[in-house]
Amino acid sequence: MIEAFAQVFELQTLLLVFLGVFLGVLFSAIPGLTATMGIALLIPYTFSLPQVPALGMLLGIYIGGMYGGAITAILIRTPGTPSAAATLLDGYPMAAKGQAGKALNFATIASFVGGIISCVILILVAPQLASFGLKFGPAEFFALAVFGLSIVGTISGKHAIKGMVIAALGLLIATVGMDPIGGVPRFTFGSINLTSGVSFIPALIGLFAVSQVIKEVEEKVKGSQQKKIKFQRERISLKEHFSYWKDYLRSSLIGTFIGIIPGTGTSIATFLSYNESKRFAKKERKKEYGTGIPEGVIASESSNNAVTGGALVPLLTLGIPGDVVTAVILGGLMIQGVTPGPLLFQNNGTLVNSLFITLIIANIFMLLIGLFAVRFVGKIVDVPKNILLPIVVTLCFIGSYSLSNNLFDVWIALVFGVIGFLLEKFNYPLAPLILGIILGPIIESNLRRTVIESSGDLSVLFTRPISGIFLTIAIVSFVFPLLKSLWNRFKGNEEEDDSSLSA
Amino acid sequence: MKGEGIVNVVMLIFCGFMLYAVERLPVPAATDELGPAFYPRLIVYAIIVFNVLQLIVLVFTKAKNKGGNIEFHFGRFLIMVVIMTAYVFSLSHIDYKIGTFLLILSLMVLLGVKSYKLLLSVSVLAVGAIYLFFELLLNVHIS
Repeated sequence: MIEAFAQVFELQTLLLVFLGVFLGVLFSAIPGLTATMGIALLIPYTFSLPQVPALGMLLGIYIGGMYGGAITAILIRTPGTPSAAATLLDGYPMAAKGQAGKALNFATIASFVGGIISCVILILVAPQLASFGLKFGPAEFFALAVFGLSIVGTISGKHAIKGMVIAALGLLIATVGMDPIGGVPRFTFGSINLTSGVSFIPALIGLFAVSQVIKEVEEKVKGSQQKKIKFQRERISLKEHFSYWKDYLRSSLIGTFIGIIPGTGTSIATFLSYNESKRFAKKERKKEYGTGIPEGVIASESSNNAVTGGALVPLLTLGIPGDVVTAVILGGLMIQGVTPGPLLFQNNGTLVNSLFITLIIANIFMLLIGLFAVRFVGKIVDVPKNILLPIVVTLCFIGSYSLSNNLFDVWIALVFGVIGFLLEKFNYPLAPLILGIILGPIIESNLRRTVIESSGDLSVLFTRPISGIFLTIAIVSFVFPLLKSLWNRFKGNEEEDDSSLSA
Repeated sequence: MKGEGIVNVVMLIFCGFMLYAVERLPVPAATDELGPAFYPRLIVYAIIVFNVLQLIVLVFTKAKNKGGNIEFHFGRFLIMVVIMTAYVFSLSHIDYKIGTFLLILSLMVLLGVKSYKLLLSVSVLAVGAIYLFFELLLNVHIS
């Protein structure tokens, strides 16, 4: 252990971890650039570095990358990464109410708490948890994804039916491209670009950022004097943070749990966590979700940073990457001559301990960078909108292009921008569309695998305990709010309708 | 309400088209495989059901519908879409620096900026920053 501390507390290691976290925050804050891209770009530079500094830098980018997306999501409604999509549900409304500083502060602390809790879980019970993650077969993945989708009612507020229409539309959009089992092209209409499906990040950028710019420009003609967002630094007392301890803890545990299951991703974690936060809230408080309250920001940010520790559980103990970023980190580990798996803990105990300490250090650096950055990045909202919006829309397009150097992605951002604007105009919530696009491929491929594995017997979805539990909860949380929403609409009681959705 | 109803009708027409496209997908040879058409068909049916449900709610609901007051300034929306489309189209035909300069300039004019100094300085600085960060630092060559 002392050797591990000595390796981490070398100046070179600390500087590279700091640089990694800083670059991670920067990359994920710019629409279109991702932590995956940052790690992929930096891997060649780690070839000549010793193991601990090299891997420390990659882990730093990973942790910084989870947090950075929140900055632009809160300030300009542009989620830099998919993991920040749920953050804007309450983060941007908070900024619009003049609480941008407070929202950023909560996001930073929540990210730190989520990261640290998941690190502790990783350190204490990694091998035991890894075996749990392996219990997930196609039926369980299908059930988990359906469970994730069942939160549509909650995030749609009083537009539950519209949310379901839009979520289904997202699921349909996700079917564009090659069929996941047979490789049959679907709805590509002869376009080579569509064979790999609709790129998710340009769609996200278009839906939230480009649509917002169109909205601002369109509204200008009305002469509607929108309340100008002013940035104010707000100190939040420890007492206030502690008053949300249940939210911090619950969201961190959800994020870690989802992270442990390979192939689930941070988006499911953030939306599930948001849903659970609302479900556990008091009746009066439930109505305020989506209008700009700290609980919404905490739920999303704690869980997405908690995914980092969770995703490292199967990576380090079994050599299975939990998501795209950990897959790239796996590449970095292999390059450094480290083979993750059960023997890693026995043969490279010092290295494993160094990685654990590095993770904690990286989270501390993220906290410091976040708290320091709040002082400056918050000023973005003080830039006049007639200067900020053209720059934002340009960054959206260039960022979409830079994802895969493909002009088609820019068209996707534009088309989804227009779709997003029109949907919002007619009071359709946008978050369910993103949820549908994210979960669609997981639902379809695992449903079809389940059918093949069980020789067409779908009862396994309910007879296997984990999938049975998830599906039962999903059905209840899908049908009950829908029926209650319909009842309230017909009774003309829309106010009550809103609060009942997360029941 | 009228506007929202139109959205539902448009979606139902779209579903009709998608069902036509789904029917053209191949049928699986293996009996235990759902095939490429099963899932999209299921989703299209779900969209139809939810849209019909939404139409019923719109027709019968007693609640005051906010959709009736939708304000839509089509002219400015159209100008914005035309500018952005022209920009994306220009990326494959002219140097992106020229296109980006014109995009920022035109959007600022549309948003009411009148000062020539501001128009030029912001556009030039933004193009410079994008060139430095994306092209020089990240090696992203925008076509």
